[in-house]
Amino acid sequence: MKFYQFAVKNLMRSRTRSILTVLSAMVATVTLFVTLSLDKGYKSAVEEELVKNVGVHLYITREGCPMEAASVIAQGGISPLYVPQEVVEKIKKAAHVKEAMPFKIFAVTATDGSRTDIFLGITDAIQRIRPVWKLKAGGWFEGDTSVILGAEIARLEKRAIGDKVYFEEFNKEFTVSGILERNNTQDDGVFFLPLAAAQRLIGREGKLSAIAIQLDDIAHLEDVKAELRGMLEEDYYVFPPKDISDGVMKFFGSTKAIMLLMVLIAFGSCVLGITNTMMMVAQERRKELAYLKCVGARFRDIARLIFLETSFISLTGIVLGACVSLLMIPQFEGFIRKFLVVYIPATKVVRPSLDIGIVTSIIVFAAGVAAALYPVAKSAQITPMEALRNE
Amino acid sequence: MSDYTNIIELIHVVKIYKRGREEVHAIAGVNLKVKRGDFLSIVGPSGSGKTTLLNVIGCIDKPTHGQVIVQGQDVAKMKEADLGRIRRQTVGFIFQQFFLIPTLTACENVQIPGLFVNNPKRQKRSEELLDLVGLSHRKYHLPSQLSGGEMQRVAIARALINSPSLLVADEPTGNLDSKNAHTIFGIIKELHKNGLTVIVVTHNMDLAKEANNVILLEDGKIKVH
Repeated sequence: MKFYQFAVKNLMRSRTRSILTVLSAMVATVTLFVTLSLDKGYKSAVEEELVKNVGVHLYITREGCPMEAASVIAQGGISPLYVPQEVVEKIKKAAHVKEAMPFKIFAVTATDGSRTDIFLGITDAIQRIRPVWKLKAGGWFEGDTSVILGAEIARLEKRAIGDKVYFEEFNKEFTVSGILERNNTQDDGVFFLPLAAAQRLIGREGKLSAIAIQLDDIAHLEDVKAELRGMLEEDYYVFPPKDISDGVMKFFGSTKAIMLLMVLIAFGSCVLGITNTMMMVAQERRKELAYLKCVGARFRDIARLIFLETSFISLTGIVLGACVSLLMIPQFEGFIRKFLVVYIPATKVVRPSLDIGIVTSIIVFAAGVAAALYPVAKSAQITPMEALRNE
Repeated sequence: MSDYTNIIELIHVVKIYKRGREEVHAIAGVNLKVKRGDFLSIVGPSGSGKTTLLNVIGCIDKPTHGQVIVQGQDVAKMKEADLGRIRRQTVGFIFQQFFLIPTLTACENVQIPGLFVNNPKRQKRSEELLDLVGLSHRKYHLPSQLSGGEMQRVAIARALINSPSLLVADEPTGNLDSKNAHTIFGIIKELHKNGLTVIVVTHNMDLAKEANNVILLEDGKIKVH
């Protein structure tokens, strides 16, 4: 018999209690693992979607945007602020501006609230700016009544090239000229319209939501930003996409704080659970531990035994927690998408990884060991005479 | 001067317990020498200090005054860690209550003291010892599946796992019927014949007489030696 076998057999004495303690360690593991996976995944997804994959180095919009506009759009409204279309030509003259893409974005929510459609009025500059914007079928707009569908929209609407799409809110029919390749961004869920057609649809002719700018060299970002600031009136706002992702992350901060609170509660329960279990072990097996002292067990032998028992509880909880987390990632992803009130990227936001697994395991294990410190001290200080007392 | 032929030497040992304001002299100035290879029985009425004396001899308890010399070392002033080393290496204990761990088999229970000296041969040794006490056929049984006599035989095997120089037994037959009591005493006698020093506390005068030496303890003092 080895020391660890002795520890495991001790845990088997009160199986229900051991299982419940393991479950508390499992809950702590799941909570921490999912929270860390969401924290890292959400940040990556937001940056990929709003910064890395957009091909845009700067946006120009009116003061108050972009978060204000984003919230209006999210509600299915139309931003009251706009950039006049003539600004585009002015911007193109700035040094190091490679492309300038004007666009009009708006959302329409069905009267019963069942769905919100996002419309993006674009020019052909999108094909040069956005590297992930690629047509899978069909081609560019053939006229003002053409529409290009995002991959998910085409799937949901069951539309193919040449099919008609009727927009009840505008009482207007469009013909599908192209369908995009799925690129796992917001593009997948967007109706793309010719810019002029989009503006006409909502009575905003010559008015843009923003202008997206691509530079010939990102090293000149600050120079171009300064030049554009000087070129435009004071109520224009020139910002890199990182500002949008930072803004989104700031909103996400409150959700993160709630989740961290949950982690703290789960951890508190776990630590108290383990401490309670090991205290009961120390109390119930007081005579037995004292007997072990009688036959030569040292302080460290008793400490080792109790630590081993705690370690088994923690490790079993960690392994079970990791399995449950990995198996239930799709459910967690769905839950978070349903209840997360901030911006939701199209790609997965819960992204588990090995390093998160390792960090989670270390933290839960350390918490388990910390929880055992007091019971260990109590148990290991038992004197041999305790075995014979009150007999 | 301590004689190394004496495995145990007690020099004016006193043990006082405090019970509230009252002081109880459990051992009141005991002098005793136990030679290597001796078989000593300690008898006496309840409350005479037999168990206290055995606990002091076995380094489980410390005297209030006096010297307790175990294999040439005065253990009376030793720290708990050093006493633990002596309990591990020198003394084998048998208790009236058996103290078997309920979730471990007989074989595993025997191995427990071996864990603390990291004896790599404890598995094989435990099987040999169970064979010695006639329980090789019960080695995978849990304590709940053993009779009282069998449990005490497991406890004897367990006391021998670290090959101690001294076996101390506190009422080893106290919880057993007469048939099992004779069996246990037979095993202890056999161990003594093979050279082990044995000190036994017992109420049973018939069994006590089987030892080489018998001391009668009354009120914490040796009356007859």
